[in-house]
Amino acid sequence: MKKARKAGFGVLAVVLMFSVLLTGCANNGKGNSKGSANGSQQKPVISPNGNVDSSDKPVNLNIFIDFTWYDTDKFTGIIPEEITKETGVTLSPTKAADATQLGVLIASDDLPDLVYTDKLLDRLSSKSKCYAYNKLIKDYAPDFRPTEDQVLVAKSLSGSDDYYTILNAASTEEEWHKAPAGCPTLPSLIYRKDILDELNMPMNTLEDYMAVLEAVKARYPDMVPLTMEYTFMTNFFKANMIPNWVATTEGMLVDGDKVVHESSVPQYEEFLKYMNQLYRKGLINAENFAFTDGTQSEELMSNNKAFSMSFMTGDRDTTLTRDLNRNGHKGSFEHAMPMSDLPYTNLGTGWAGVFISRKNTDPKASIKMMEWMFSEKGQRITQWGREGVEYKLDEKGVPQFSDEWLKAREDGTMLEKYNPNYYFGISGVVEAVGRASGISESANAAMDEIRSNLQIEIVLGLIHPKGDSQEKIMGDQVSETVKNYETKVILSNSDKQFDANVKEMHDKLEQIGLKQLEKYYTEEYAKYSK
Amino acid sequence: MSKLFGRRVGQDLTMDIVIYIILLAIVIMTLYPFYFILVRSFNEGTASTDTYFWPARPTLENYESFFKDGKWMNALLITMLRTVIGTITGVIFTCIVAYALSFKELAFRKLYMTLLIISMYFSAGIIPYYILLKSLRLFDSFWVYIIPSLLNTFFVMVGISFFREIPRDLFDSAKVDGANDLTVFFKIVLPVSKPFLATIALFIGVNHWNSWFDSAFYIRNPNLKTMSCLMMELINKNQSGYIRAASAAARASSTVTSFSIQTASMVISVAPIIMVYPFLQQYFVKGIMVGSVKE
Repeated sequence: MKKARKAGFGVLAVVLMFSVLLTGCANNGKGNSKGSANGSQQKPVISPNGNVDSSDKPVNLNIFIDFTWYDTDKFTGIIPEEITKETGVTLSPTKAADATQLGVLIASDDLPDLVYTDKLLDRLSSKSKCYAYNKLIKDYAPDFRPTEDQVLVAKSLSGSDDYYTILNAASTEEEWHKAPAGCPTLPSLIYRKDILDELNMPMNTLEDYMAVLEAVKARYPDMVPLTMEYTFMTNFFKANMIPNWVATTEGMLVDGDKVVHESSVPQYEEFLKYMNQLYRKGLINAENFAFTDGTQSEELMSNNKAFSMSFMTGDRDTTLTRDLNRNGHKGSFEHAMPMSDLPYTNLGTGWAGVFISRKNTDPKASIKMMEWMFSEKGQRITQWGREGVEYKLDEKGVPQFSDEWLKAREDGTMLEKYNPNYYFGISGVVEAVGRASGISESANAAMDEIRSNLQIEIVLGLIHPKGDSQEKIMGDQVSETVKNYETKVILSNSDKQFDANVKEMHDKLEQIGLKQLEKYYTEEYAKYSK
Repeated sequence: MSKLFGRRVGQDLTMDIVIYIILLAIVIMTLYPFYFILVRSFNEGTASTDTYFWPARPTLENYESFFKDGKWMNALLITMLRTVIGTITGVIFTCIVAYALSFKELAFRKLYMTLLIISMYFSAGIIPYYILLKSLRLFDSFWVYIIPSLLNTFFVMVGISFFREIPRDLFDSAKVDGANDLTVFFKIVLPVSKPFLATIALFIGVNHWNSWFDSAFYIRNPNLKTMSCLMMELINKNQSGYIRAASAAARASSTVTSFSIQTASMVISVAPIIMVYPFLQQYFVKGIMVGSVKE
């Protein structure tokens, strides 16, 4: 009995010892109160002019970053240090683990000081949850003057005269056309330049492209002519075939003075036919539609197993070329130019915003920080680093980055050293210009072409069916239906099957109430257009 | 007779062959994904399309990246600690409660059973649970991994049936010799309950090892994150074309990709469970049937 008791107590003692040790790991000195998501209670020092005195200990604010893919959950590095120096604020970021986490925080009334998100914007745009930006600006930051478009977009989220955030990465059509380089992140196509040179065929139109793919298949039977990256799939073809198509509106687009779904325009069926032809000629695989993430397409490309990939604008051609060569294959990738005269369309509304919650311990420091973030200086520092140190502007106004910056980009120390992930106030143009620096000629050429012909459709971006409204439900159902049926239609094995599947899709959409949804959007569009 | 005997052997042989082929196919379908991940973990991340049975370009870089990264090692330690502590405490609490409830003469037994059954089938949902944990000040604390999972109601029910099967005469004779309830529990009940203990230890342990949701939702301190949570973050990162493009730019001097490090972390994550399982397997089949047959 004594032995059993001793053993039992021994086990419990060990368990308690470890637990005590681990309890010390909690409350790691960041000033977070246990059991709370709120920030520290640090009060700022207010200087006589009413600004936050950043020479004293910085204000620490908790921020919830509602993106599971976000590249950082630390506020360390040269750029965060500059942010603190300029604004007197340090951030304690928490990254979302899951897309539903923000909903839980809102419902349990446990929002941190700041929330950076692109979801539930209408729910957060409420005076019970967050401070109104216009009121904080009036009280603490009268020099902070968001543009008319920014305010319009923000008010469309709240549905009132108060607005609760300003979305980042927005720019007007004029600003884009004047930009020295870059373009919004838009669909693009990356292909093997060396193989195209070998084939000696033009690739200026979608018809040319299909002919090239057929030639690739004939010459390289083991190679997949086209692989579609998981996130961007058929976007390149839609952008080049469907007028006014936008990637981020769940298929809704402007057609004259109406707003319709992509499935309602005749070009959509042409797009489906084109994709179906690609499939029936063996130029795309059915298994591509079962990919679970983009690495599968990228692996095909970098291992000499695919000729082209539908992706996005950027510098992926350079890195794929490097990976291809490293894997022992000769060749290079380039970005293709747009393959039609259709202008690319972007909403220009921005995509994510910082909300200052009602639990915020220092709304004044928060709004002053956001004012700085949206300033030209703030935008450049948060994305490009310090002028004269990390970059110098060339004659076109494109930043030319330092060797240290470029080295950090290549050896994986960018995050640790610079951490350019706190771009809450950045404009679309500043982001794009920075990304365009140092990338390949073909990538730049494609972006220049897209940018010169870019059209911004901001009014469409102002229409937000409320979370629990019938239109929202219908919109979600339409998106889901189109996603499922598009795959079925594209993978049809005959014209008869294609027509039957297309008809089935249209019938299903009509059943859901697509016409009613289009009517709602058209009415809202007309309202906002005024 | 020999002719009859020959025909039976032929039929049995055919059936055996068919059965073994089917079983082999099931084994391959079950084991190959594990093997594939193992092979990919020893392969360069950027060179992978021809890797099916053997690494096309063998490397230990993925494991080096894993072990060099402090956050993974820290997560491994946290996972091991929560599994060990959580399993021990979970088994103790579950057994004590099940043993007590196995006595029909226990006062208010019906009330306890009702509460247990209701909590087993019904839940208020994630938001009340979140608010509860917050009010108990368990956020950002290691205890959030332990306290909420101290009692496994399903295994309590199984345990009640199991402990009832133990002959009461054993308890009576021990009490006659001067043993109290605790002595009976530790000296008599637990030693004869090894199948049950092994089974619930395995289930609770694996549950702790794989659990990521609590780490993701209730822990903000990066030093308290578990391996499963970090793996979920990697998986989520892989979904984003933007992040993959940025990560690709950072691979000038390395062949490690986020997927390749994911495979290495999967192997490291699964390895301890695979090593422990054979020791518990002898109890597993017996244990899973406990309480299912009443004499």
